Parts: sequence; structure tokens; C-alpha cells
Amino acid sequence: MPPSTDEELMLAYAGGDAGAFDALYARHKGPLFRFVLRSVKARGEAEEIFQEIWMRVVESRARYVVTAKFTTWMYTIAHHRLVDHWRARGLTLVSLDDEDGNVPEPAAGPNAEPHRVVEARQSLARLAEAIAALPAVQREAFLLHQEGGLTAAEIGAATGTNEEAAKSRLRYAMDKLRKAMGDD
Amino acid sequence: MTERDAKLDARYRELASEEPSAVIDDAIRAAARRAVAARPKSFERRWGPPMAIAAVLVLATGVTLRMQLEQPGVEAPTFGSAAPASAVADRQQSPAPTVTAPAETEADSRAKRAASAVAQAPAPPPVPKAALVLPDAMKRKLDAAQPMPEATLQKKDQARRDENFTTQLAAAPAVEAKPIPAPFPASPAAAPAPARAAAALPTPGQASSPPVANTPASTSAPAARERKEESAGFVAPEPLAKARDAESAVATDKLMAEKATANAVATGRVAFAAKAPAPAALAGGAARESPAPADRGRASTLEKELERIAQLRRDGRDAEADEAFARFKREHPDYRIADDLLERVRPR
Repeated sequence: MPPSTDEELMLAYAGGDAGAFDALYARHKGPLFRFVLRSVKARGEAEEIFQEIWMRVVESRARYVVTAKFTTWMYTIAHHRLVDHWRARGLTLVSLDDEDGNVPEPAAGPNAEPHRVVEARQSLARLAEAIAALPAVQREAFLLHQEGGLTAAEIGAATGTNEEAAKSRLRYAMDKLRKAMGDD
Repeated sequence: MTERDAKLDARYRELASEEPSAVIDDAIRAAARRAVAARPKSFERRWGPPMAIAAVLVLATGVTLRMQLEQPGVEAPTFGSAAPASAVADRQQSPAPTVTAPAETEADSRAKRAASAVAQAPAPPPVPKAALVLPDAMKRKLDAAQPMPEATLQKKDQARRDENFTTQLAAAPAVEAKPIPAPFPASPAAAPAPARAAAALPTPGQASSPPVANTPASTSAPAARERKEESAGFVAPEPLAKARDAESAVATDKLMAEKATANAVATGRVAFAAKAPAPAALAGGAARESPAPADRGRASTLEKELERIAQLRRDGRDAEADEAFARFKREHPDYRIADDLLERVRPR
């Protein structure tokens, strides 16, 4: 039996199937959490916003209709919640670091020699710094593309702009990150 | 996607490994389950009151429709009530003479006419055979003495009067009762007052006949037709005319009318006319504007009653006159007394 799509799971949950929500949550909790985490300053705030977003999903289950991908709908909710957060905070740039200021430990590859591990860690640290240094809208477009798997059109729909603007933001963000990583 | 984008994506995947804490996971999942579990309760809360209101409306509508459908059946017991039926049954056990149907051919004719009229009305109720034994001449006579429309008279009063008239019929000189085999479709109002009285008069073995269902359709059609025939100088068919000429019919007719009038005068009541449900009332305003012969006959009877009261007052028996006048007003509240007559009968 093929796995259910996100939309089918959400409709099943709206119909009263709690197990469908568990499957949906397991599928999207990581990407959504990272999207939020990289958009706010601290992990505590990220978890609070993350929980509120899922609560809105739960509360909106009866009104859910399949007009677009579930991820577009969910990240639209996340975008609105982050906009509220940024407005309350004065649109401050967020750091990629957690509350302790530690850069997340990258996963070690199969050829985990010490010098390669150090190089990889340094490379990821640069990437994290570059992401944090992006303008908010470009960072949001990049994260929606990377974590949510949204296309430019879907990013435009989730952020309340058009496809061309979303595509432009995404292109600028990619260029800056590549330059920061020394890939140019 | 270009190769440079793929390389950037791969590096980001290495970086992106954060997950929410297990505490957050559990809290969100529990909240989601609670929301789903609470769903039926919220459904009841949301739809309970509207469903209750809808149920009440449906019940009320159903009861109303049922009452409307059963209305004829509700009226039937009041008409053929147990009291007159039992009274007549008791009399039947006595050696009292029975009523004859001298104009049998006319009765048949009437039955046919009424049957054709009722055939147009929906669901004509079966009529007890007791209604068929009334001689036609008697019907005509009693038609003449039929009261004004009394839609508001109480049914209890009517039952009492029916019984009174039935008593008169039972006491009348006897002729042989001969019930008509075919069912007579007319309701008591269709064969106006006499038929109603006759409905309470059982033939042997018919004392417990079921009451007649008085449907409005069957009530108005034959009665209106008879009035129309009378007012238009309707010439009865030959068998009917012959029947009306029959001496036995005339004799019985005369006898019954005299008996009824005498009884009315003696008791201070108008026994038979009292309140047959007025074909004129059912027929509409035209009939009221030009009183039917039955109405004139009834008025004559009532005037006689008033004259009797006036005589009492002339004789100085004011107490009896007052009582009789009060009873008259009570039994005929809508009867308009002529001014000169009113001067003579009203309490001093």
C-alpha cells in the first residue's frame, strides 16, 4: 500500500484519525523546526513558535481543503507566525546558533578523518554564518526551498508575494551562500 | 538545478540535523489527539439545539396533520354518541312501534342521488343503515322544520336533542321499518336534520351501528344539491313524485311533524331542529341571504315557542315566562326575535 500523501493524511486527521496526524507530524516536524529555528534567535523561541504553528494546524483541520500542497499551507501558517514574531521583535536578524552559541555538530561522513572532520565543520560553520547573514526575506526563501521543498511559485504563495519575486530572492540567497562557501 | 546548487544543497543537508525536543513532540501529539477526541462532544454541542428544535417542529407538524386527517373520525362519536344510541336501543326492546318507510322508492332515489354526489367527494364514510329507514316524507317535513345554521352549538346539546327526536319517532304510530340495503353515503348533514335524527334511530339489530364519519365534503355536496333543487323548482323524478304522493308518506310526515311540534312546545325546546348543522351555514352566504324553506319552518316553530312564552306572560306566569325565555335565549342565541314579539316576551 503506497504511503498516503500529506493531503490525504490531513483530511484523515480532519475526519478524526489521530494516527494520521502522527504520521504527518513525523514527516514534517524536522524541516519545520529547522525553518523556524533558523528564522529566530533562540531555540526556546523556536520551540514555542513551532508548537504554536502545529496548534494552528490542529485548530484549522475542519477548514482544511485541498487547494494546494499541504506543505504550502503549513508553511504559510509558519510565515504568518514568524511575521508576528518579527514585528514584535522589530525585525531583528536571527542567528543560526542555538541559545548557547554553539554551532550544531555536523554529521560525520564515512571518511571521517580528523582533518577532514575539521574542514567539514569549518565549512558548515561558514554556511551557517552565511545563512544567518542573509536578509530575512532571502533567508526565508532559501529555507522554504531547502526545508519545505517548495518551488518558487509555492514560496511566493506561502510568503504572500509572486513567483518572480520569490525566484529573485532565492537566486540572490543562493549566490551569496555559494560565494561564502568559496564555490564561485 | 545546476551542479553548484546541488553542492550547496548537499552541504546544507549536512548542516540541517536539528529536531524538536521529545517534550514538544509529546505535547503536540497529545493536543492533536485531544482535539480529535473532543470532536463528537463539540458536534453535539453545536447541533444539539438545532436538532431539538427541528424535532419539535416535525412532531408538531405531524400531530397537526394527523389531527386534520382524523377530524371526521373525532366528530363521529359526538354525533352518534353512546347516549342516544343506548337510549334508542332501550326503547327498541319495548313494544313500541317502529317507524315505517312508506316511500321506499323515493328513499332509493335519494340514496342514488346522494351516492352520486358523494362519489365526487373524497373517501365517503360508510353510513349506518339506521339512517336509511327514515321515510322521505318525514324527511321533507323535518327539512321544513330544520333550524338555522348553528355551527357554534355544543355537541352535547345536539346529542340531547337527537335523543329527544328519536324518542318522538319511536313513539309515533308504527309502520314497518324497511332498511335500504344499499349503503347511504350521505352524512348526517348531507341528509340534514332528519337524517341525523334517524342515524340515532336503529333498526332491529342495528342499535350498535358505528357512528358516521362526518366529512366536510360529504356534508356539503348533497345538501347543497337539495337546496338548489328546491329553490329552482326542481321537479322530482316520477318515482320520487309518486312516492311523495303516497298516502302513507303523507300520513307519517304529518304525524311526525305534529309530534315534534307538540314535544317542542311541551318541553320548551325545539327538539329536532335544534341544531342540525345547517346546510345553509355550510353552503355559504347566498343561502343565508334567502332563507331556505327549512329555515322558515324553523323560524315558525321558534315563533310558536315565543308565542307560548308571551301567553305565559299574559297569564301572569312571569316566573315561568322568564325561565322559558332564558332557556330560549340560551338554546337559540343567534335567533333574532322580532321587536314586537320581543316586547311581549322579554322579562319585565
